[in-house]
Amino acid sequence: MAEQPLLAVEALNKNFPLRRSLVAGLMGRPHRRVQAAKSVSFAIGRGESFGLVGESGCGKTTLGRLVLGLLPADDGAILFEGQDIAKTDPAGRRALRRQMQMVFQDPYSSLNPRIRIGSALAEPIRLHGIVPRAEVQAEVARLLERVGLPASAATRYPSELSGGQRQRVGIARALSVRPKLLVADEAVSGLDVSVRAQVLNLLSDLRRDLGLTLLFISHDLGVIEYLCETVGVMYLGTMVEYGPTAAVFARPAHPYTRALLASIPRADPSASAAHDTPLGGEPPSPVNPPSGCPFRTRCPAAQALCETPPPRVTLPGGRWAACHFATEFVQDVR
Amino acid sequence: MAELLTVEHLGIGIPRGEGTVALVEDVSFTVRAGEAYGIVGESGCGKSTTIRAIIRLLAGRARITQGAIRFEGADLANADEARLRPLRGAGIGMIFQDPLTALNPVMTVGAQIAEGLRYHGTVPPSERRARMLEVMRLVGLPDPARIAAAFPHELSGGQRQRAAIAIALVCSPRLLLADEPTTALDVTIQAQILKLLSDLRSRLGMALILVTHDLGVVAQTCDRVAVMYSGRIVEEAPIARIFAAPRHPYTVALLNSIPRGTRANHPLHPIAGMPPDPAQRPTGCSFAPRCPNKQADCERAFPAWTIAAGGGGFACYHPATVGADLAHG
Repeated sequence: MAEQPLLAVEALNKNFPLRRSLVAGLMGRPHRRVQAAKSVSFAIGRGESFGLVGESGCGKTTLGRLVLGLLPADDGAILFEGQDIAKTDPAGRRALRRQMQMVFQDPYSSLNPRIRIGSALAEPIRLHGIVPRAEVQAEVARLLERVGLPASAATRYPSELSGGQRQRVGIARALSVRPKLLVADEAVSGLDVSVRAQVLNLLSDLRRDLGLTLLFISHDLGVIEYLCETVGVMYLGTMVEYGPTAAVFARPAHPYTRALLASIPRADPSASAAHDTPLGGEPPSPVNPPSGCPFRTRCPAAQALCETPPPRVTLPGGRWAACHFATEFVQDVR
Repeated sequence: MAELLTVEHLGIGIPRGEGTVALVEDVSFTVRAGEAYGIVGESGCGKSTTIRAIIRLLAGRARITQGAIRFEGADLANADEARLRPLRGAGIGMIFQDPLTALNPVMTVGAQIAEGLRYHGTVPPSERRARMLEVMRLVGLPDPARIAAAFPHELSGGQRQRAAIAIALVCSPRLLLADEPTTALDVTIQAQILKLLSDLRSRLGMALILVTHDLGVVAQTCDRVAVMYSGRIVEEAPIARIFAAPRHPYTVALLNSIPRGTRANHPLHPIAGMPPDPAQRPTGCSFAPRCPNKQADCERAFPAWTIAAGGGGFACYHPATVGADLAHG
C-alpha cells in the first residue's frame, strides 16, 4: 500500500483471565481465560468508514477499546499514523487520545446527569486547549449547530433531552477535540428507527464534511451496509472475513458471514424464505473455543480439514476470509 | 376463519393530577384463529400497553378507560380476576422481551414450565413431567431432562427465550402474545426463534400477536399488521400491502427510515422531530406536526378510518397515493 493507513492493527491478542476458585488455586490448576481477540489484523485508511460486525461476545467491543488504548493488549501492535500507541510516553499518549474519540452506545450513562450540556462540551475543549478561553462558548455553540441541536441545548441537563438528542450530544463531545478517528460502539442501537436514521445521516455528513475516519462497531448489518465502505466480520474473537462491504454482502466468502446475512429479517415479505433454515446452535463459549476453525461447530459446510486452523485466504478485490474453502464459497452464487 | 379476539375502541389511560393521560386511544382490531397479527411502532406508541391490556397485565396505575376486549365470547376488559385467572396461561399465553427477567431465578426451568399444568390442572399429576418434557422438545431445547433441572442463569439467552416460550405453550393456549420476543437476542438466534414461532403456530393452530419495532420481523412472521403511532392504530393491512402500497404517511416514513440492502449509500429519510408527549397530543391527527402531507384539515379532528384497496385501512385525510413513486422500495 502506497499510503500509510491511519490505523493499523497487527496480530492483536487479548485474553481476560477468569477468576479461579480457591480450590482450583490451591491445586495449582491454571487460570482459565476468555479469548476476546486472537491475532486480529486490519487497517483503516484515512477518511475510510470501517464497520466491525458480529454477535454479542464476539470481541468487537473489546477490539474498539483496544484500539483506543482503553484496554492494554496482550501482544500485537496498534499503529496510529505509523506510531505504536503502546510505546508512546504519557505526553504522546495524551496527544494521541485527542486524535481518537469514542461515541458510546448509551449517551445517558456516558453523560454526567448533573452537568449541563454546554459545560460537558466545554470541558474537553478547555482541557485540550482547542480554542482560546474566550472562544470556548462560541465553539460549543458551533458544535451544537454542527450536530443539529439548537443553541439552547447548552443550558439543558441530559435528562431533559430525548435519546436521539443525547446521542447527538455524545457525538458533539467526541468531535469537540477535533479527532481524526471516531470509534462508535453500537452508537445507534438504542434508538428508534426514525431517530436512528437521523443519527446515521449525521454521522455520514460529518464524515464527508470533516474527513473523519470511522470505526463503526455494530451488530446491525443493515446499518453497517449503509454507513461503511469496508467491513470486518468477527466470530469468537477472530476476524473471519474482511473486504469492501458491497462485495462481502453480495457474495460472502465465509460461511459465517453468509449465515449472518441470511438471518436478517428483511423488510420484504416476498423474501420470506430468508430464515427457512436458520443457523443452528449457539456460539461456543469463548473460554473454550473449538480447535481449528472457531465456526466449525455450527458450520453447515464443516469437514475434517476444518479441525486445523484456517488460513487467511486472499481474494480478489482487496478481500480475505479465514476459511479453508473461501475460494469455493465466494464463487458459489446462491 | 373464526374471530378469536376482538378489540373494540380500547382506551387506556393513566391518572395524572386532576385528569387522565390517554396512553392508547380508540384501538380496534380483530385476530382470527390461527392468524399471526403484528403490531409495529416506535417506543412509547402504546403497542406493548395494548397487548398487556389483553390479559390485563397493565403496569402501575394504567387502567382501561373504555372499550371491550372479546376473547372467545368473554369480555376481558371488564372481567374480574376470578374470570381472568383460568384464561391466563391456558387460553392466552405471553412471552416478553427479556427472558431473564421473565423467569424466576430461584426456581428450576422444569418447575416453571410445569407450574401452569399444576395450576390449571390441565393434565393429571402423573403426566405432568411427560408433558413438560414434550413441550421442551417442541420448543427445541436440547437435552430436556438436563435443562429441566437447570436454573435460568445456567442457560444461554436463546435457551432462556425457548424456556419462556415453553412456559407460555405448556397449557396449549389458542393465542400467544409476544412482546418484542427477539429484540434482546443476536440475529442468528433471532432467526431461530422467529422460525420456531412460525412453526409452532402452524403446528398448533395457535394465533399470535407479535409486537415489535422491527418491520423486518413483521415481514417474515405476520399475516397482517397494524402500525401504531402516538397511542392509535394509524394503518392496518395484509402484510404484502403494507410494504407494497403503504397509505399512511407515517408508515411510508417508517419504511423510508430503515436501511435496506438495495438502497445502500442513498441517504435515509428520517422523520423530523419526535412523537408528541401523550399528555400534550395536538388536536386532530397526532402525526400532523411531522407529516409531509399536512394540510389545514389535519389539525381539526382525528381522521376517520378509510378502507384501503388491497385490504385493511388507514386514518389519514391525505394518504400516499397508490402506485405513486414511493421513495422506499
